[in-house]
Amino acid sequence: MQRSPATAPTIARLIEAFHRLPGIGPKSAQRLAYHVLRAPRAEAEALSEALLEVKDSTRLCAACQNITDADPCAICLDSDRSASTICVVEEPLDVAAIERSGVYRGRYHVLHGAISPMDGIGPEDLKVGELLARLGDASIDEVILAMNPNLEGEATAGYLSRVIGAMGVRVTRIAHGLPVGADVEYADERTLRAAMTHRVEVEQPNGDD
Amino acid sequence: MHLTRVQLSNFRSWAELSLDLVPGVSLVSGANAAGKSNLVEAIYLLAALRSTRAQTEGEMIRWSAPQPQIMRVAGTALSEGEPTEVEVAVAARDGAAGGSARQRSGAPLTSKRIRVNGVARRAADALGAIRAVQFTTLDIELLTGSSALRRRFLDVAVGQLTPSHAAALSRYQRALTQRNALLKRIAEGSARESELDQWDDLLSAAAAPIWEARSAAAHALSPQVEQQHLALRAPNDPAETIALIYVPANEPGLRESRRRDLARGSTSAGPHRDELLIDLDGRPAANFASRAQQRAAALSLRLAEADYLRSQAGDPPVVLLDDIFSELDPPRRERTAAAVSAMEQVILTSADPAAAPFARSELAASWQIDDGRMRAAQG
Ligand SMILES: [Zn+2]
Repeated sequence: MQRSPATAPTIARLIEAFHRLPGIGPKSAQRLAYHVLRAPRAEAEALSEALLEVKDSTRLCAACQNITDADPCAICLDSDRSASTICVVEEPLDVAAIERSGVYRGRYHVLHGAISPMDGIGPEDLKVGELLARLGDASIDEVILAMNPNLEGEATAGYLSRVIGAMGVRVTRIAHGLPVGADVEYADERTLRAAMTHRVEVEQPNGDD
Repeated sequence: MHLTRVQLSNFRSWAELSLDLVPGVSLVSGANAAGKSNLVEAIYLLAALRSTRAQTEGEMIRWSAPQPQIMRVAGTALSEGEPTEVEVAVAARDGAAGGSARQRSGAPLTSKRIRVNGVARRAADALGAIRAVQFTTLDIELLTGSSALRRRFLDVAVGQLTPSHAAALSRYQRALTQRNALLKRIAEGSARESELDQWDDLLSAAAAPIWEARSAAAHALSPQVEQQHLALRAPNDPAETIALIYVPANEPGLRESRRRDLARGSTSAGPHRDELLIDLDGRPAANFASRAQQRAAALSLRLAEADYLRSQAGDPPVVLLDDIFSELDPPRRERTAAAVSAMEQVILTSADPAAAPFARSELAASWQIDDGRMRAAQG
């Protein structure tokens, strides 16, 4: 981004910081920076505190790997939820989206990404080991794969269904109600509800290797 | 279908050009480098939605265009009385205009916008809105050039009829890139071989619709190429048969070629390795045919492509002939003219109007380009 000599360096630095955020173009970054500049000091303090707090006091839930303030997280602690079903998602925002749909009453597991060799991301770079460790517990009787409907999501689901299927645990995938390109995080509640309700059994590859 | 209007703005040599077009044969004459080929490229862009000549899209923007540098090509076509308007605009970022600066990975130096009837569309959804076939002197490369050019010949024909083909190709390409990246990671020891399983499945599934579409197109094109080739033949020509043979690279399967793929670090089978063989009298045209024979074969391929689009879409495509007549012998000029005259609209350029095998009375319109200006030629 180009620096104009007319912009004070401190403001330029803030504009650049906003510009680095996902989905923020140069114009929006400028608008945000000048908004902060004109806002009361208390508002700027609240913003900077919230930014630091999220870095300092959140961690990953040791069980589901979702981002949480308290470990284990509220969902893992909730005894009204079924502990025998795990819904596997790519990102924390996917948990929020499925929760909004209100259709699912089991536990989650957040992978923090999807398999993508061109980006150097393999199963070891995701929270796959943690998932397999949870499945060692005999009380899990279904794993629902809710990856995004794109190549990398499909590759991740394909990999997990092989590994988990080999452990003798039932694997299902959310129905292909999600149109290609419509990530879980952006899917509307009705679509997600339908996709979760009409999930399909994953065929286990039987010795074709 | 036929175009009724084409408008260019800051497209290569053209600052502004607005042209009303009519069905039938139109001739555009002018000296070399007068802007004839640029006009044909612009019109074909409305159908293919990407340039057949430019290395980077920034090249299409007139270098002296005012800031912000944007080139725009718009055209309206009538198909069975229904108008369709397509607009392609390319905007430069950071002085990319006119240059051939390579795009850095992931960061295009230009952005392209496509609209159909005023509504923004992705290229894959806008293909086929206007259908066209372009004949150029470079078509001989269909015979002599790499197999990628022949695959593209099939893909462009299929894409104008089946827009989902473009999406299938890009899905396959991405799966291929991922599998190749994984092969390298396995070779480096940073990934396990078992991780190939799901990419093999995804790549095979992505390949299937491409093989099906290409095979169907080659099957339909093959007799049309033979027929066109026969029609172009002069009575005293040696008996020359042409054959179009599509060879999908689907053997062995990905599982079977895994050892070899791991060793070479890339995927050895799949649609990216398909071949379209072109034989003249049972021998590869690239090696055993004369220049004139290759030129005639290339012409047959383009004429077959036009026929194929017409028969599949039920409506003839716009035919663009970019200065191809000067290198044909007079009998082949006449036969080519007869073949394309059956189409609804033909736009041809020529540096030498005498080489164009149409009498003045056969022309629906005639223009002359002088000093970057287009004017109606004197009758
Ligand atoms: Zn948890």
